[in-house]
Amino acid sequence: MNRQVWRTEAGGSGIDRGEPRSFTFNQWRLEGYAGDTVASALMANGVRLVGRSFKYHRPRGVFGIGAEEPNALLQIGTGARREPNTRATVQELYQDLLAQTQNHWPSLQFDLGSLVNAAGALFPAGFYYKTFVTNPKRWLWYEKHIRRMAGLGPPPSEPDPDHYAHSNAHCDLLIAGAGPAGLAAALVAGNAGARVILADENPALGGQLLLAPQQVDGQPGQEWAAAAHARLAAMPNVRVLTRTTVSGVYEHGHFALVERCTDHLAEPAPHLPRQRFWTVRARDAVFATGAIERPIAFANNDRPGVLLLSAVRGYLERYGVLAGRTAVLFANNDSVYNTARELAAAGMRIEAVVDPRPFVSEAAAQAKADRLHVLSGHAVVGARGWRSVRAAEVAPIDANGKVKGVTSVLACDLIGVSGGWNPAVHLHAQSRGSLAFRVDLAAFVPQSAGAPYQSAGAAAGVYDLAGCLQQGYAAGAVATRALGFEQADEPLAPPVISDPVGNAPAFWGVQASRGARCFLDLQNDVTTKDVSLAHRENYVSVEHLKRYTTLGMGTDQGKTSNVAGLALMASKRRQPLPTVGTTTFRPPYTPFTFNAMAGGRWREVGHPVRRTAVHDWHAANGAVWTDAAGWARPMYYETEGQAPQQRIDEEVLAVRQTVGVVDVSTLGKLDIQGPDAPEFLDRVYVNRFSNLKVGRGRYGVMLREDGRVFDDGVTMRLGPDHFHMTTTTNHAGAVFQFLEYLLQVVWPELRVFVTPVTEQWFAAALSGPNARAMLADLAPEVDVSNEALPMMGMAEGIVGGVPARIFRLSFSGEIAYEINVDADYGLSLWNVILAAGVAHDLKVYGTEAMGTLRIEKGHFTHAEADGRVTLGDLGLDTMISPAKDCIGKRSLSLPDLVAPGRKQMVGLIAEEGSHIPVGAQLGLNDDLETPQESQGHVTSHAYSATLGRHIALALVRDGLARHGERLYAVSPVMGERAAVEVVAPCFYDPEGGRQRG
Amino acid sequence: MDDPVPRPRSPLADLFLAAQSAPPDDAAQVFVQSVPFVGQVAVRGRPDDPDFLNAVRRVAGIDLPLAAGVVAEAEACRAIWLGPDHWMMVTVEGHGPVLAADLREAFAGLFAAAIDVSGARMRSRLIGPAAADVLASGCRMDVTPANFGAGHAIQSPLGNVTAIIHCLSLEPPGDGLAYDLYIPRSQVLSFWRWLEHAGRPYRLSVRA
Repeated sequence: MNRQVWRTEAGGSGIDRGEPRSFTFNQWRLEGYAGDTVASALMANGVRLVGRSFKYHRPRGVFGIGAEEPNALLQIGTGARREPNTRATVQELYQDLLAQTQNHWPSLQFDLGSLVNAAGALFPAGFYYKTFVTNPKRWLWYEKHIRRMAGLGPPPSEPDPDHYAHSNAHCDLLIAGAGPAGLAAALVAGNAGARVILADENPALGGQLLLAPQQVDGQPGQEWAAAAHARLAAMPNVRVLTRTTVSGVYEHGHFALVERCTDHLAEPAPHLPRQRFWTVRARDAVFATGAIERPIAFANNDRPGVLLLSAVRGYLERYGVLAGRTAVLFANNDSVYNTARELAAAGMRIEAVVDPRPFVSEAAAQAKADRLHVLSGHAVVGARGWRSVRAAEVAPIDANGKVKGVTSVLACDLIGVSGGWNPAVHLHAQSRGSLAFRVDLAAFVPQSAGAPYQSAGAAAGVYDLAGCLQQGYAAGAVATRALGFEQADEPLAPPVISDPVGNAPAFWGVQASRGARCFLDLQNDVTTKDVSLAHRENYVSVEHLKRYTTLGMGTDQGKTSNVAGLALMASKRRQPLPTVGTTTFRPPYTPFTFNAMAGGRWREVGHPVRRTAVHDWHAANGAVWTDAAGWARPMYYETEGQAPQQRIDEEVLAVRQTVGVVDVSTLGKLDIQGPDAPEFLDRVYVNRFSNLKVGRGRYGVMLREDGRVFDDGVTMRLGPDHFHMTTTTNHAGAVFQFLEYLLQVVWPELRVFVTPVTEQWFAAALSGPNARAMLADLAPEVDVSNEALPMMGMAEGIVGGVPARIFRLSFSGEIAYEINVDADYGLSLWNVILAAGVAHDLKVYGTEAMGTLRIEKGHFTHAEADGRVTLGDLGLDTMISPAKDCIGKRSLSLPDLVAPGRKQMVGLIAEEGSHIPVGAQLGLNDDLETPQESQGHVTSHAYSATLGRHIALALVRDGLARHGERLYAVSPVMGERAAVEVVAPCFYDPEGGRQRG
Repeated sequence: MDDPVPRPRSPLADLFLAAQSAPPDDAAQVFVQSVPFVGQVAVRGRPDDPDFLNAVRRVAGIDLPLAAGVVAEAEACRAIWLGPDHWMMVTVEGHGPVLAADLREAFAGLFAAAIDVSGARMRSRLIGPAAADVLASGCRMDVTPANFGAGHAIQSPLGNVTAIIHCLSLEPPGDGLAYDLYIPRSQVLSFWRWLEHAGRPYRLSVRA
């Protein structure tokens, strides 16, 4: 049995009566048709009450027909796919859709929260601020109750199961809105060959052509629109995006669009993204975004059954739905008369057309002649009913809108309201276009002079169909010609049949009586009294008014309420509306999900992990990972039943006693070539490289221009004009950029090429007393003797069957070789090394052991050279060549860099059995309670299995002169303390004999 | 000790093996093919130095492209413009070190460099009607065929990495466009994750 008792027998251009769709609304199972929105299907079933209001929990029904809807916010779907605050007016119906109301308790029909309505006088605008500003502690108690009472639907707590897509598009002309003006502009530009993107938020193109019976070129409006759509879709240079909102306008022709790909489907194919976020670069744009009808404030104008007049008309035309049985229509413009005739023809009883204008327009006179009950010079001053309108209170008014006679009560279940139209200037305003107030329309319209983009049609304040088409063609032609397309001819606007358009003079509301509420902002429960109160409390700025009263906040951002609220503010201040101005229009035009913006760019999809050639081996062998400048590096290798420190100790001791191998592929590598390469390195490094022998390497440090240490590493001279520079893992990118900058900008005369080759090389470092013997096994053709391959020497040859470069250098203080091969062969080399290592007690080690080894040797890293530290602070100023200049050298004489009291690098050694707290400050006593002046801080700490003691590196005020002093490492955060002795930073083999051996 | 024959290994090897064993998706709009090992040589030199250009021509039989974003083709190699003094020459697997050595020899006495970087980037190929759409979902440049056609290459952020994207015509001509993507080796697995995500709306499928 069809329960769609409010559905007409025929008609409804947007629905397919052969395709029924059942859906669930709260506990009820209802029927609608394909093409319905949730709102139209609910109305077809006679559902009036669809929600409770934000603050007063008053019953609310559908108010509009599109993106402007303030009331009908529902939760759609279930579980992880439950989407709160969905506008029922734009949510398309699909089979088995689940819609639920929100913000009520215990039920929609009976909501205890509506007691707030009775006590409403206690909750004026600014209530929270006034209540809690004097005693913020009360907020802590009230907050959870208020949060439950106020607010919209809760988001799901599960992770989002859908996937989202991004797309970048480029075009000559972006057209926002595909009503008559947008279609016309697109046809002109598309015919001229311009690359066009036409986006419309609705599933079908046509805009207002779909919502009122009109004719274009002898065809019904929606058929003309469908034909235009088909023509555009056939043009290869035009991309039509339906269900796509132009959401934001940014600088330099940058636009954000959100496409809803599957929100209208019952069972979307799994490969389809739910939404797609478009980033469009357009050379030009036309905003044909239409206009939004505005309500008129009267007492209890929020009752279910009070709808925008255009919505009443649209539900009949598009969906074949009667919004009521008996209507009072209240409008200050002529669009009401045709609407009344259409509704009457569809079977609705028109109790009265109430026209507040003090004159009788031609259309009104014609309607009267047609025996419509027209009450000119009257206004609806109130609605009666609670969960639904039962009657309208109508009274005669004077020219100023004041009630001047007896109020009569007209029984009805529908009040259709139109206070005129506000152009949807959002995109224009976002693009920094200014607004002009047109008194004849009582509306803000785009100021075309100086605007970066054209607006066309109703968005520009042109409300008649012929004018919209004409302006659309013109805007398309102007834009296309300006873009350089010559054959952009604007066709003659076709003949149309549409509504007569009378001006809608300013008429914002009637005076409230008996303390009844006249709502401006339905979503945020802002009434005329709230705005008056804000005025009395001296709120002058409209931005302050918005935040104080919440007018224009929420998911609809005041699409139906803002201008009326501002008008009321202006009248209170006795100023013209333009002086009061508008609040700032900001993206997005309508809300969309964060995930559309993220577009799946999270976890590894968003943040790439850099893997070395032997990553999989590390993973398979228990690597515990750390992130090093985006690289995944093994910290150490986990073994079951072994404590991490025990394993790290084993790795350290292997290097000190036998041999260890570590994957050092992550170090930055730069190939530096050219006749001026030696000179270039002399200028970049503090020490000299031009006198380095071919086949030898040298440790170098480079400074920033401000004299602080920037980076360090070993650079090998491969040939007279050819160097291989290594950088730290952290600064690989920054060093390359800095060197490239120096060559391009500072010293363009130097003939040097710097080419990053980090990705090319896999590198493994062998270190320990057995390293040489092991390398001899691996590379039988290479002479690895100390004479042929001394410290800081290099060799090229076959290692493990692979062509390799062998650099002899040491970070650990032991004999060490860094073997570099083409990364494609990295795993192959690694396996050969491990196989050869069996005979030499080889152990693989990670960054923890590497860190311990370098702390034992007193080598600094970025923990010490943290961007504030000079070479002198590190005790290395003797590295600086006095005979040449280099980047940063002149800064070294800055007063602050030579002043006493600088923090300098030292070693710390703890007493036996005690450890040094991580992140500790250094003090003169071990008092954790009383603040004391810091003498410095611990930068790196390790347990040294070699020494059997906890050691650390630290930056200590005047530290170089304090060796031997006792300090206390105190960590009030950890509640830990330890006595430490200040020593020279190198704890192990300070003469360096082992690594040269 | 044993001396096994060293074998190159691509980070994508396992993924491709696994993906290729899945049944082909007939509805796929885009396919990815991997050609993991190609010879790659970074060539540096001044575009206004005829000796440099002649040296390249002599060794490789190719005229280095001097216009931004252009790719030159010769029988045994191609040269991708990466910057005013920077090209990447692509050659067959295993030939990178040889080409680099030959060029270095020819560059003697010149301000020019040739560096074997065969292991630095992995190459994959995108084909199919939606290939450009997949690129557009991760690349801010205009990669539609009207603007970015065969014989052109750009270096650009693509998804979560910076890639060299080279557009070429499939053989026989008229079979559509293909896009060779050169991805930094260390990031190729992360890029693959992005590609799976970006290709999902177009039913991305792997082809041998």
